[in-house]
Amino acid sequence: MDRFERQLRRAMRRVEPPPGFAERVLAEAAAAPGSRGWRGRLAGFLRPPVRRWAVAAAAALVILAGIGYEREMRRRQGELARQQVLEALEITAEQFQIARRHVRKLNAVWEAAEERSEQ
Amino acid sequence: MGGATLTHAPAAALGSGEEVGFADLVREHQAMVYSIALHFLNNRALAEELAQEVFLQLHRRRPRFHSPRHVENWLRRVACHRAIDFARRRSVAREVELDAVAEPSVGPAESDPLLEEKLRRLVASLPEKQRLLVILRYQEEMEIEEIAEVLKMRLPTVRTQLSRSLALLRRKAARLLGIGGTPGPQGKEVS
Repeated sequence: MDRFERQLRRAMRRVEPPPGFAERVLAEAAAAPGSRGWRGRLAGFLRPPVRRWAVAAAAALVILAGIGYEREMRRRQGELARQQVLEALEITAEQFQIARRHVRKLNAVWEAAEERSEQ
Repeated sequence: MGGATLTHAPAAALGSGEEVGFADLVREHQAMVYSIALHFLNNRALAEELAQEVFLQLHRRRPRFHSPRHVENWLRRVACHRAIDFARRRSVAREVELDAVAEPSVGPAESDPLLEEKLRRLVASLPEKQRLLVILRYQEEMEIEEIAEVLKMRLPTVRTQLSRSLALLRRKAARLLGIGGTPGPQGKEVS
């Protein structure tokens, strides 16, 4: 290392930062989101730009959930009405069969009476 | 290498997340990081801002370090890269005009604050990479191999670039300050 390099080394020696530098860094680090507990981290995460998006996403989620719930309720009501109609039809068919049997019976009695009168 | 000797205590605290360990690291390396920034940017306010950002980045990455040497090399590398970013982003990379370096009024003494300031301005006038190499070589007193490792450069490239930087500085210093006569066309080979 010659004289010039020694001069260069002296000129380039390390210098201390201004007083209070470390304290300022530590204060910044303590204020950083990662330094706080989960609440602080969450609060840091939910800073204004993120918060706006989070609120919008939550609102969209609530609206979608509402629409989904409404559709489900309508589907259940439709299913119930269908069941009731089917039950009504079954009852009607049963009554119809009973009436039919009665008519056949009466018809048989009527035919037997006619045969007897012809004889 | 003339860097600060690292003890294992602060680095051990890196993983534990204790603020005390981080405070120790800041105090241990603040001169190194600040000086790299200052010598590169030639601006105290920006150097402080840059050094602060580097330490805050260290704070965010604390759990990922596993040795004091790892931390020191990481700080050097990040300080160098952030310095380049800062200079480009804030347009402070203006090379110091050679004519702006005033002629010395008297012959240079062995330890002359004015001469040292002029030498720092000459270094600040170098292109980015060459400036970094000179800072790491003469501020951090790193070996060529260490510089290559920190800056992720090839060994011959570091050697050549450093020789060129030194030769350039010698020529400028000889012309403007009357010191550092050139030993050869490429300057003395840096070893």
